[in-house]
Amino acid sequence: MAEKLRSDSAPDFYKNIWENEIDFSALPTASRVDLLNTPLPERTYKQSRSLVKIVSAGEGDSFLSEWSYEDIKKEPYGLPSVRPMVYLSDMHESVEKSMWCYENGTVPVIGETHNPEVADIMARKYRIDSLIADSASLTKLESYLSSGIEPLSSISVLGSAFDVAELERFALFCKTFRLVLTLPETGAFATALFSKEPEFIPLHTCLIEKNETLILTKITPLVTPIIRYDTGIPVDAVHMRTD
Amino acid sequence: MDVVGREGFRTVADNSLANLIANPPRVEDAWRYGVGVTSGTTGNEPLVVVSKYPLTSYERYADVIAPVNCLGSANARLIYTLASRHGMKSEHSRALTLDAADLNSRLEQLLKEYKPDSIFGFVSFVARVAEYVDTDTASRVRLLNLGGECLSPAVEKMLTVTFPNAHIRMAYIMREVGRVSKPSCEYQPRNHYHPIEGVTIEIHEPDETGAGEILISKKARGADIVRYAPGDMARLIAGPCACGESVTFELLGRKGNDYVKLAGALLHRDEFDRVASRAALFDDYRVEASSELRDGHLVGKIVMRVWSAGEISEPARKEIQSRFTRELFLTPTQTLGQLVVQGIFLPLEVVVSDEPFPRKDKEIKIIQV
Repeated sequence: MAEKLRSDSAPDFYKNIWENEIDFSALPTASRVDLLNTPLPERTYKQSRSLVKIVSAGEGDSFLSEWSYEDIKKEPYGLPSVRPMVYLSDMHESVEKSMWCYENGTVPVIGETHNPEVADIMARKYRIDSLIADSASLTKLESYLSSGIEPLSSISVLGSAFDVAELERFALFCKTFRLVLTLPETGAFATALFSKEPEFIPLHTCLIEKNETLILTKITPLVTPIIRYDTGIPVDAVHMRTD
Repeated sequence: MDVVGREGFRTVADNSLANLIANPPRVEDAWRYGVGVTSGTTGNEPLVVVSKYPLTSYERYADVIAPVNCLGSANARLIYTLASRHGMKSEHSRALTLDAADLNSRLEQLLKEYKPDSIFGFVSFVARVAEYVDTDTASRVRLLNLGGECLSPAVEKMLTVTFPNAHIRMAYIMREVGRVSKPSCEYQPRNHYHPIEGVTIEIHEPDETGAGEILISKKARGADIVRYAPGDMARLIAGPCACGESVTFELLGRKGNDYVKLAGALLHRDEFDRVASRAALFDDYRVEASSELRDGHLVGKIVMRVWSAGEISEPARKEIQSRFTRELFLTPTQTLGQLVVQGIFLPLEVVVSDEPFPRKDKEIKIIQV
C-alpha cells in the first residue's frame, strides 16, 4: 500500500513525510502533529460515504478525521448483540461507535455521559445486552450495572490506556469483558480479554512495531491511511503479543 | 376526547419500546429505527421512545453532500447522522456532527477544511455555529435546514447575512411523533406550517386570539396518536394558502409553564417565578425574549414587564432589575448578570405596566419576539 500512497495521483501527505525513503521499516513515522498540520483534503486518499469527526488533541488543538461507513463497520469496537448501548465521554466517538452498531445491523442507544441518570433510564428501559464504553463513562453507569440486572453479553472498553485495578470490578457485570486498544484517528488495533495482566492481540489487519512507543500500520485502505503511525502509547504500557 | 400530554404519551412510548425489544428489526432494517429520549424539559422522567423512520424522513438530505449537523443532545446528533448517512444520494457524501464543546477557536479552521454545503439543526445552535464560519466557507452553504425552535426575525436576519447564498427551510418535527409539518411554504411567513398528510392539528381551548396548545393526531410509531399535546402553543390560520394547502398553523413557542431557548440559554418560567417569589416586589409579570445583532454577534435581550396592584416606584423597579440580574439563572451555573458581563445577554430591561396583563396567548408568560 505504501507504493500506492507514493503514486503521482495520491495526496502529498505521506510523500511529504517519507520524502525519498523507500524501505518500509525506515519510513519516518507519522503522528498527530502531522494530522494537526495537514488540512483534511490534503490527506484524503479515497472518496466514499463517510463520517467526519473532530478529534481533540489537547490544549485546544483538534483536527478532522474522516471515516467511510464501510471502514467503520469493519472495526471490532463491540461484539455482536441485539440491544447495544454506546456510552463514551467524547461525543464524536459516541456517534461514530453508534453508527458502527447501525452498520452492523443493530439499533443502539446512545448515552449522555454528563447525565448518568438519563443514561441509567435508557439502559434499563431498553434492556441493553451489551455496552461499548470508555473507562471514565463506565464508572458513571456502575449503579445500573450493579443493580442486579442479568449480566450483559459483553462490555467493550475502548481506550489507549487501561487501569486494570479500576476496571476489575466491572468483570462481574458481563459474560465477556474486553479491552479494545484504539485511538480516534486510527480506529482499533488490538484487543484483549480482561485479566489482571491483559494480553493484547493485534488485529489481523494491523502491524504493530515496538519502538519507544507503539507504531501502527493498518493494511485497510482508509480515507486517511495509517502507515507507521506513532500512537504515542509507551511500549511498556500494554502487554502486546508479538507472534 | 381527552388530551394526551407527555405523561399520557408514556403508555404509547412504552408499548412501542416493548414491541421493538420483542421483535428487533432485521439487520437490513436497523437503520430505520432509533431509540432515544425526549428532552425531559417538562421536569418529568424523560420518555424513552422508539422512532421508525420512513424513507421520506431522510429525504431532507437528498440534495446535499457535506452537511454540518448542529444538535444539542447525543440522541439528536445520532439520528441526524443516521439520516444524513442514508438520505444523501451522492456516493461521495460526508457528514460532520457538532457538539457544543466544538465551539472554540479551532472550529473556524476545521469548517474551512470541511467545506460544508448545508447546515442542519436547532436554530440556536446553528446561530452559535454561524459565528465560527468565515466568509468564504459561509458563501458555499446553500441550505439551512432548521427546526426545534421558532425562528425569530433577528436570528433570521443574522443567518441570511452570514449565509447569503443559503435557502432557509424549516419544518415542525418532534421526537415523539416524528414529522408533523411539511417544509416551510414560500407563501407563508416564518413559523407557519402546513401539516403533512395523515396529521390532524387542533388547538386546545383557544383564547380570543386563537392561541392555545397544539394537539396532534397522527398514526405513527405503529400506534394511533390521538390529540397529543407536546407542550407547544399555536394558532390556526383561516383560509387556504396560495400554494393550495387548506390547513395552516402558526407556532408560537413553548407553553407558558415551560421555557424559551435564547442565545444558548434556557429562560424557564419556573426560574422567573422563583426569583419573583423571593423578591415579592410585584404581582404579575411578562417576559419578552429576543435576539439582537451587536457588533456582528447575536446577543440575547430580555424585557420584563411587571405589574402590581400597588405602586411600583422607580427605586423598586431598579431593585427588581438588580435582583433578577443577580439571582436569575439562565444556565445551570450562570446568572443573567454573569452572561451580561460575558456579552452574551444585554442588561435586563424592566418596564412597569400600568394595567394588569390581559389573558392573551394564555399561559404564556415568556414569549420570544
